[in-house]
Amino acid sequence: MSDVQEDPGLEGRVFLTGIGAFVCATILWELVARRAVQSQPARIPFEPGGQISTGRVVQSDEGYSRTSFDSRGFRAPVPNGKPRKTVLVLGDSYTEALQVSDREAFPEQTQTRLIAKGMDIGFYNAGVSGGAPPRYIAVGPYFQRTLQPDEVVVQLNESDFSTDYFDRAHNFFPEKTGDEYKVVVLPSAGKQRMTKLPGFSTLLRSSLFQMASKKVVTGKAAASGNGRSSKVSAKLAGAELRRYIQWSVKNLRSAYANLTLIYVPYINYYNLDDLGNPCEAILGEECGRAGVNLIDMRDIYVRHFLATGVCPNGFSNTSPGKGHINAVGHALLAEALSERLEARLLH
Amino acid sequence: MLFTSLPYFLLLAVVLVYLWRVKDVNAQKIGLVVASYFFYAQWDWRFVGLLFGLSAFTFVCCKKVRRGNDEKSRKAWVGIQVAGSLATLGYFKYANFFLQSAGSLLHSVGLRPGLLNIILPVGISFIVFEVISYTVDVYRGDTPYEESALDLFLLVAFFPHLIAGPIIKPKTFLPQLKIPTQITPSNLSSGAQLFLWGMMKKVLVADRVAPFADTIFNHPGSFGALTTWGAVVAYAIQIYGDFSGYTDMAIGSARMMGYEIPRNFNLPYFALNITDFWRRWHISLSSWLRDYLYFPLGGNRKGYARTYLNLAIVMLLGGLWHGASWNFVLWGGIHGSALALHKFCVDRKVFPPMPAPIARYLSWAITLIFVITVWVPFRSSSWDTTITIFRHMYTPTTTFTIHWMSNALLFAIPILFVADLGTTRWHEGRRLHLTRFRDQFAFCFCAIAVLVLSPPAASPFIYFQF
Repeated sequence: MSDVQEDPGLEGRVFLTGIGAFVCATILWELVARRAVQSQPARIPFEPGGQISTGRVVQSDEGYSRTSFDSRGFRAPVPNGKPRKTVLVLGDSYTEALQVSDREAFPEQTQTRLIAKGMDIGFYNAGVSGGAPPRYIAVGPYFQRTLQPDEVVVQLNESDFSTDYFDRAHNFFPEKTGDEYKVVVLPSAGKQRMTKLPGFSTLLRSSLFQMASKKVVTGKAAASGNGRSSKVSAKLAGAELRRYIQWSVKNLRSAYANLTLIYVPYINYYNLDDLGNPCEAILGEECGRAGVNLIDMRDIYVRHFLATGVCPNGFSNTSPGKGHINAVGHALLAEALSERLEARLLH
Repeated sequence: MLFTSLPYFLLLAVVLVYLWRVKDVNAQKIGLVVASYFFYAQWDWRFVGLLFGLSAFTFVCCKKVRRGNDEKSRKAWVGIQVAGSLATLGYFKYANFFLQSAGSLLHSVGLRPGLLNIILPVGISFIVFEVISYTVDVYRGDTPYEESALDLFLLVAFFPHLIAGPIIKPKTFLPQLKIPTQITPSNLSSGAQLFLWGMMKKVLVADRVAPFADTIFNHPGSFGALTTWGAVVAYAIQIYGDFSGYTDMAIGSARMMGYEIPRNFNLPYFALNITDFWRRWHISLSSWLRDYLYFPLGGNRKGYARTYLNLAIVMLLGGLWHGASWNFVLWGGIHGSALALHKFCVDRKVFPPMPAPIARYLSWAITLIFVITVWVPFRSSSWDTTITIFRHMYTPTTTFTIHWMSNALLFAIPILFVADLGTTRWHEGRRLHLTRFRDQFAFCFCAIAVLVLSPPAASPFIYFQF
């Protein structure tokens, strides 16, 4: 580095080449990241309210997938043409399933199984991260009009019955009026960074920027001792929990004539005696009362785990038994769903 | 304030600008001490007083040692300083351990002492060892007594090494404080490179394999033999990536400021025997134990049997230094026994003759398997966990496996090789020339890789708990 003292122009050249090197490295990594590490989809307004994803997505934080969403927000692969029977699948991140590939997600696997049995059927995966019963209820008229599904599958889990969704951060949230609830729809959710800062939209959409932002948020959350960036959800309990579940089941049944509910439970594979949230049992009772078809995956997942030692949850880049369902979990779910739907569709 | 966090980068940037602008040596030292205390306060402001107190106590004791009229009083003051420092460490770190361990004995005589509500000050083990080394070095004449308290305060509190070492030898660091440091492009360049290598080891290697090691060690009875072995290997990689990565970041930070602190790791998993391993792993600690414990105990000057005993004692205490748990004592004891056994074999020439390459590879393999296996008690949260892990490692079981854990190891091991190669070359003087576009691009590429490939959640530095 004594060269710097001998050649006064060297500093300037080093600075410029340094900037150039940084830009080149950034561009190279941006291209790699968009293709193979992380790429967020574009967000477009959704007619019933809020936004949906469209375009390509790459996700590698939990599991891995490279997929896309069409202009209606359905995850690939979307059925070609117009199948004789259509099935709409609604759910949250377990259905959106960005942790597994297109072929491994349970709607696609269920479709494959039923096609193999000779059915002309197509599944439309409308899973949305953060989805919950208020959303599924509110979008019913829209999908009945645009898709006219023959069957509707709604995937639920215990977070659907926490207070996570009782605030205006969500497009669709339940507002309590007396002993009843009603769905409140907001036209858009959260901050519209793109419209507020149109000049920086390219930067904001870049994969590197999004990864850096996520690291900062995660780091802040970890430093504050809260593992989640949002407030900790409180669980509904007792009579309130039952009332909310009853309302959810009743309104889902009203919104969709041929309805099947799937419950994906939280299972503690290190302590199978831990039966988790009471909402699971209440959901079973209310579905029985309302005559709604329910598939509870607990027994199936536990049986599989005990027989094979393989957890239906967890990925090679997270922890086994934790987080979203993996390819095994999706396969088991597809098997259970295809058996139930086959029986319904053939009658 | 982790080394991998934005606040640390900001602090480092502020300090570098300060040192660049301020040329007076005392003003520089004052700024560094302030920055170091600020850094420590971010961990827990309540213990800033402890840091100051230990430094001031050491200063006063060393003054007495320096000015003592006779050998007896000088020794007495060394004893006071060492006893006081160890008492501080003992209280914060070991009080509850001894109370728990003595619990059954005390219960038998009708005493039921409760546990004390003590918070462990971060870095206390390193701080205490630093002040003891200074005191003993002053007594021995290895380092001159510093009339200025500022130098001593900076030696102890210098923020790159404050929390988890390396333990700096006073005689190598204090002379650097006599002249103003200079922020030069060369130092910035070489320091930044080593910092980056360290960050890669920590973020891309240690943090990537941590979830698997954590899962198996938290649920030791739930996994098969292969998975358990995989987790133990993962932990061996994790602790090396974590600690050597931290050390590289510490040395790199110091280098950017124009200061040299010693290397702490030298490819330890390539050691050919256990003695070689301890010359390569946590070098500053093993040097400290040698200079201030092994030699005072007599070293190897009192016969074979005493030598082996001294090795065992030193490593037992070295294990206990890591943490207040019998698991750490076991870990240290096993290493001490292995060192003694190796010394015995070397002294008695019991190794059978064999071709050099075979002997070399065999020796390396045995050492590596031994070291990896003995990490189990070091990592385990309890004695039961240790036993369960060992049982699952060496007994075929049918409990469930994580066969896809290998993905993390396949990802981490090559990166560890690359980062270790970079670190080794750095210490050999072979560094990137950050005046050239090619090397600048390589640096930027690796720096952005840390962002892109890092896991969603960072794990805390393992050695910060000591």
